[in-house]
Amino acid sequence: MNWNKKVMGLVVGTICSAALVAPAYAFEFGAMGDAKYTTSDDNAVADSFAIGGLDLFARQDIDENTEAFIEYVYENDGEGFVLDLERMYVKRNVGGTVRVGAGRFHSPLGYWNNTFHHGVIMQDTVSRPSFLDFEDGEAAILPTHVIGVSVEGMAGPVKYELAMANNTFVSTGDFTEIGIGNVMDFSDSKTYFYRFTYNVPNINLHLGLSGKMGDVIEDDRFSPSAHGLSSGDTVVEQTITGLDIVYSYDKFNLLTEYFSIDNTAGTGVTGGDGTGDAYYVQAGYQATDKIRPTIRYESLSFDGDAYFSTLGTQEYTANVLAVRYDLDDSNVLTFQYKKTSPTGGSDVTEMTLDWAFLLF
Amino acid sequence: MNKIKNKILTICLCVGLLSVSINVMAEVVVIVNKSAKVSSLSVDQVSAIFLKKSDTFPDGSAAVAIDLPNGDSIRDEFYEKATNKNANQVKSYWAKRIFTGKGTPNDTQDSEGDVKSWVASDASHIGYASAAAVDDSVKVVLRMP
Repeated sequence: MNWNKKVMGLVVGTICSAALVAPAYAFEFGAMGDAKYTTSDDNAVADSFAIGGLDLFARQDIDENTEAFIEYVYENDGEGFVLDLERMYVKRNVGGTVRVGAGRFHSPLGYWNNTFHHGVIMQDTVSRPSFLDFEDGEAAILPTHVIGVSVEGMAGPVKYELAMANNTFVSTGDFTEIGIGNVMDFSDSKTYFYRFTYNVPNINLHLGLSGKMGDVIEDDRFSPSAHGLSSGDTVVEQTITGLDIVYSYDKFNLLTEYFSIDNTAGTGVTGGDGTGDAYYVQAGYQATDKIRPTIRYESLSFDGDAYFSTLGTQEYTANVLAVRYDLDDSNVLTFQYKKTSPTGGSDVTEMTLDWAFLLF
Repeated sequence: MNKIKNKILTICLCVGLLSVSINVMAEVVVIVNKSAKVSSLSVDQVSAIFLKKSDTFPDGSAAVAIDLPNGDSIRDEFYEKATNKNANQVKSYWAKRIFTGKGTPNDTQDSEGDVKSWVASDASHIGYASAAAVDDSVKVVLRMP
């Protein structure tokens, strides 16, 4: 009996000691949303109240070296509410600073795409730069999400992220959004992404270089290809190169990104090769601890080709003025004035008052 | 009559003392391992480490922070003094960091005694506790009365 008690005591003591020393794997959950009012000088659009997407996210360290993350956005795409799985990935530390991951995650393209995601509360303006719209948005030209594998880490002072992913696809027989293959690809070839970032020591300067190399392929499941292609055939061989700079000094901050999109037409594709240039410059000033005004200039220009014409992309410039007021860390009021000037079209001016919030 | 007055006065005195004791906040100290080279830290340096804006001590050696659990009064007091954020603001901060993949909250230990033991176990460890809870098994690098 005494021996059994001693053994039990040892076991209980060991478990209790482990519980005391080992930190628990906390499950973190949050949600973001926003509500807004928009007025426009576009006679075809009525002044409206609207709710933004409800972003639900959760994260957990599922073992000592592995984390899992999921994010759903419940949003109205204009035709009804849809539930989109935006991100679902697992990442594991495999030694030193190196982490490998798999799943659906934001493509390693640029700064805004990887910093602000879907949360309006996270950014200083109500809207993203138009050309950085998500794949299901009207003005989208970049794949903001991918499904594949990634590896990230530090090479000296430089942070790197590399990814191999399913190809993006378009349906050339119908104007369409950029397709992301969540459960399948149409081609054995894959698309590659890279991102390198460097924080200059002693000054708040961040430099980034990112890119994509791979094909945009045809999806003719729902409408015949405009070029006689079959699903999986190359519409364009696409190379995207991006540069981003983030700088802050005292109360002033600057954010700018530039993307070059080079498309080489696939075999049998009419419309020729094309090149697009997209950039924005954004500057903000922390006027008080709660008020931050921001201005932004956006520009998108391109040569017409099968890719841009399929997406219905429109060249434009835009000027944005926003004032953000932090009611608290968890909810923010932002006023935004945006004037969009489509090339060859009429200017459209919108003003929006947005109240964004975070649940945690 | 005198007895009633005395009782009333006693009650008032007790309530007054209780109020004073409730309003008096504990001195919170930041502690590191005794073998850590750092001997003192500023409030800003402590804030940067615990908000994971820095993962090193000023000398460049690694710094790993530990927290008390959410809801702990010493934890709330530490963050008010070190970061000027209340408990909800700290939670909001970490929710945003998690969402953008820029970081996750510090691990936690259940009690000040556990924090002290954890800090004493590795030169890179840093934590906080009430001044009354620490002893010479750890080194105090910042006092926040």
